[in-house]
Amino acid sequence: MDFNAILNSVLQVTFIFLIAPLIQGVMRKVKARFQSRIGAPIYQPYIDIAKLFRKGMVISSTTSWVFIAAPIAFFSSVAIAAAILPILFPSNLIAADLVLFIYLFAIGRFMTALAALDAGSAFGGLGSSREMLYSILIEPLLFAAIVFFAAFASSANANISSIVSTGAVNWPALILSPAFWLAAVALFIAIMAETGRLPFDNPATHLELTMVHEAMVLEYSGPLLGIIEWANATKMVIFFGLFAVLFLPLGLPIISSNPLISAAAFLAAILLIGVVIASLESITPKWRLFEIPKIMTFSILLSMIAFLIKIFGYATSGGAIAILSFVMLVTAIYFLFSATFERRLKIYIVQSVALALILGAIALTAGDTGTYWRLGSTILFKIILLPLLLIRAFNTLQKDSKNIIDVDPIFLGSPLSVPKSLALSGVLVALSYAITAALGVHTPLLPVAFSIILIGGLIIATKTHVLLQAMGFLILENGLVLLPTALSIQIPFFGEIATLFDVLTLVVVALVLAFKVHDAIGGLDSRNLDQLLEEQ
Amino acid sequence: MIELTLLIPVIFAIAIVPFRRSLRAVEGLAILGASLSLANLLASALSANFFQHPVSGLFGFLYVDPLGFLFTLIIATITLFVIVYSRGYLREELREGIIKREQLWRYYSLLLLFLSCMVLVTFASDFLLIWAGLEATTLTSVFLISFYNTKESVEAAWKYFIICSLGITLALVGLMILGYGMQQAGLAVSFGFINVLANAHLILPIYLKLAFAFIFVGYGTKMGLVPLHEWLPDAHSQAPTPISALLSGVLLSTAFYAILRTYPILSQSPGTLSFGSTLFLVFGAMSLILASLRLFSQTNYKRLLAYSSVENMGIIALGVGIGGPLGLFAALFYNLSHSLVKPLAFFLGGVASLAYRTKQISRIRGLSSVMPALGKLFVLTNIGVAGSIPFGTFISEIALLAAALATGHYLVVLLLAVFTTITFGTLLLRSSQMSFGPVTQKPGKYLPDGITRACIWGLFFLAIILGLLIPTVLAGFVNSAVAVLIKV
Repeated sequence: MDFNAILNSVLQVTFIFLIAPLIQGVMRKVKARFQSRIGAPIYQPYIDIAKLFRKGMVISSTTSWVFIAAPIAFFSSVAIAAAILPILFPSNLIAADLVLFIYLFAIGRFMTALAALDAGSAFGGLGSSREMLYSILIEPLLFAAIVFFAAFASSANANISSIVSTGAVNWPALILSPAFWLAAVALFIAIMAETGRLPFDNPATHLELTMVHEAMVLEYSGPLLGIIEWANATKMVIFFGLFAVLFLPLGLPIISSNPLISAAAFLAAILLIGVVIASLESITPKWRLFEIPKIMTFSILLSMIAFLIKIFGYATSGGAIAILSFVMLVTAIYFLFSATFERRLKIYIVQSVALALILGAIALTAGDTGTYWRLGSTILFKIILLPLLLIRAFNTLQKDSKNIIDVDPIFLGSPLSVPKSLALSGVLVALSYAITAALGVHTPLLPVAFSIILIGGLIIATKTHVLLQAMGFLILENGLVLLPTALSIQIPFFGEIATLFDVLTLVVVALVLAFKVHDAIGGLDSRNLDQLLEEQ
Repeated sequence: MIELTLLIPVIFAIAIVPFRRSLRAVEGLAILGASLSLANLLASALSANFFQHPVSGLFGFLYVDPLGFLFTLIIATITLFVIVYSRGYLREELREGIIKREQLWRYYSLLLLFLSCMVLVTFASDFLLIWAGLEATTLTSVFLISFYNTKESVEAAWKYFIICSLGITLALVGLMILGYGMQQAGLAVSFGFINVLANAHLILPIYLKLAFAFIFVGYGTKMGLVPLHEWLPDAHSQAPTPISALLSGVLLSTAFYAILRTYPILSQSPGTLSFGSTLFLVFGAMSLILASLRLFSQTNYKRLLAYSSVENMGIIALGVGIGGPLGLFAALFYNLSHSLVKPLAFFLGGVASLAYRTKQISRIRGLSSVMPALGKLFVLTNIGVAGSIPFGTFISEIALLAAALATGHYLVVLLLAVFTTITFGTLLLRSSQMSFGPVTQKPGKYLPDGITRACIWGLFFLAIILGLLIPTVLAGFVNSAVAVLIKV
């Protein structure tokens, strides 16, 4: 065994463990500034850990050896994981693949959950059950995101070092691909969940309703708690580091052979991610436990789409237009589980803006009258007039019926649960890619256009709120407008006018009908339109 | 001046607005608009010979050949009858207080716009324009369906709106695929059907098939083919009876026309053509089977007729699926006969429901003793709907059977034999129950006025001519329409 390699690993592990409390301190400081507090100094976590190590311990008499072993196992698993990532040196002593990497954390989580049960307190049981629920969802997420990256970087194996190094070589090409960004978002969500940040878990809470991780370690005190806190902070840094080396290959040993420069760049990247996450946390509330699967499914869906793009190989061309088209696709999917009508309206506007940008880009390069016409009508109607009309209609309808559109008309008791409709939309996206492949069309826009049309149909079919169904038509119509562009065919001018006129009339008719529905059944829940159902 | 047929209803629909205070003026304008439209159609048919030289108009956006003319003739004629019938029907409902006076001008105005949109479909020279016209028919008719503004009628209108608009969107996707196929074949993308059909043999079959499948499903939704028919019974039962007659007799035909217009894109090679035939046969068979089985359990007379329409559309689709001159002739002639007989059945049912103030089959008894002539006509019309003499439906079903036998579609023969018999039995049973026997429930004092009676007997006269004589000129029309489909 090479002595240098051992030394390198020890150096790297020590480095990561040493900077971990600092990152935590910086994040707390950022949060404090967001809350207009001065906040504790950024070195406070070091002091806290030191304090914990000097204190005595209280160990419940009901516990077994598991209670003592768990923190140590957790700490060791984190230490091994820290040695795996290629941060300071190009190759490491433990050249492990990502399965080991992910399951090292699973060991830590398993031990902590076991220890929490061991103490026999109600909180421990609660925390473990929640943590295990999360882990079911998080592990496939992490796998999907990282395996995707391996496939995308054309890495030969699942070894993390080789994934990172091939990725770093192909990096300039990768960042141009929308799939790369989709996977980055997916991994980001997975990391937020894995490290227990908001909106998944609140690291600062001790409220029984909201604790997840904190509930598990509630029984610990003194040095054992110190070990857990430290390992936890380090785990967070390792995951930020994973994101950094995969998606922001700053200071990679490939680029710089000097470990000091690598260390500085790594620190900078981690601090950047830390500040971004702390800022995000400051503006996000914690979600209800049962809302969590939605965002997880969304993240899996993103990875799936990224995979599809990789498999069908459209992503390597198209650049900005492809990225914009994926913005349209993601907004369509996000529409399915967004919370309120206003937010959905914003999503629709974002989608229309992306559409307008795509049309604008095409008009600049190969502009025909049809494209200009579509561009103009998109800006005028979809970004300005229709949203105004919809919000007015919504406000008028809401004014009349306080009880109907109270909390969230859109979510409560939807006939198809959100994870299911997300899964369905994943199927639809896959179907669109399959159709496109069958047609032999090689454009990044076409599968997206098909997907948006199908998801629009899904919204109409699965939502039970009259206005939302009307908005489903708008989403669908955005896909339809994208379709001739995607196929690069030019529609006769009168065809543009006729279809536009039809669509506008359709929206107006839908709104008038919504008012009629409201008058007839005293609400906008289209499930109440059930007078004519026949016995099958 | 073929475009006047299209424009006159629009002009009158707008002209109604300033006269909306006077019910007489509104009714007069509506009847005048529909008659002028029909008169213009007939006059242009006489002056310009569509059969040798198809006519185009309005800067080439319109194109009328025998096929288009045949369907436009149905549309304009039946709409005129419906408007005349509406007069008596709505006045009675106004007297009963079911509707308000202020609503009526909207009804007639929308009805004229609806007419114009349907004529746009049959006159259009371009697939995109057909699409736009068909979508516009949904948008103009949706408020006619929700006319009573009750819980039920709004529900029916909502379903109609959602299902048909979604379907129509699929058709647009199909058109885009067709455009892509043209582009791939190195052709300029245009959707004028003369151009598309002339070049269809250059397009790769996969694009043609995919495009037609999307278009078939899209327009088939509007045509009411099973399993896309869910809106149809609701809309037919909840709309005012004249509108039900119009939807059943004319709107479904218009959607059928839109599919039929697209169908020849497949006729370039036997492979693609058999793909299209299979679609027609499968959807047609499903419609025939499901609708005739559902008929028996219906308790509402209008729902009964609505399911019968689904069944009729299934038979028409089977006719196109069998294909060949005889199959197509049977389908077109069946469609023509159905468009006359079905509105007649709705008209008579409407009279009965006004007299008994219910649409429930079980509460209408002894119609023949209340109004002897109309009561017996009611039974006759109902079995006519099911394909019996003396109506055109009978002749076309025989022609259809002959075509199926000649081309070896024995399964179709079997299905037709079994399920049209079931339909016939059900309709005969229900209409006799309603018409004969003692009056169990005291009906109201309502008796149809002279104009309504004239309207009913006039329509009956037309329908019976079709069944007994088949005027040579009309057979010629249908044959030239078939030639349009075969030739291309």
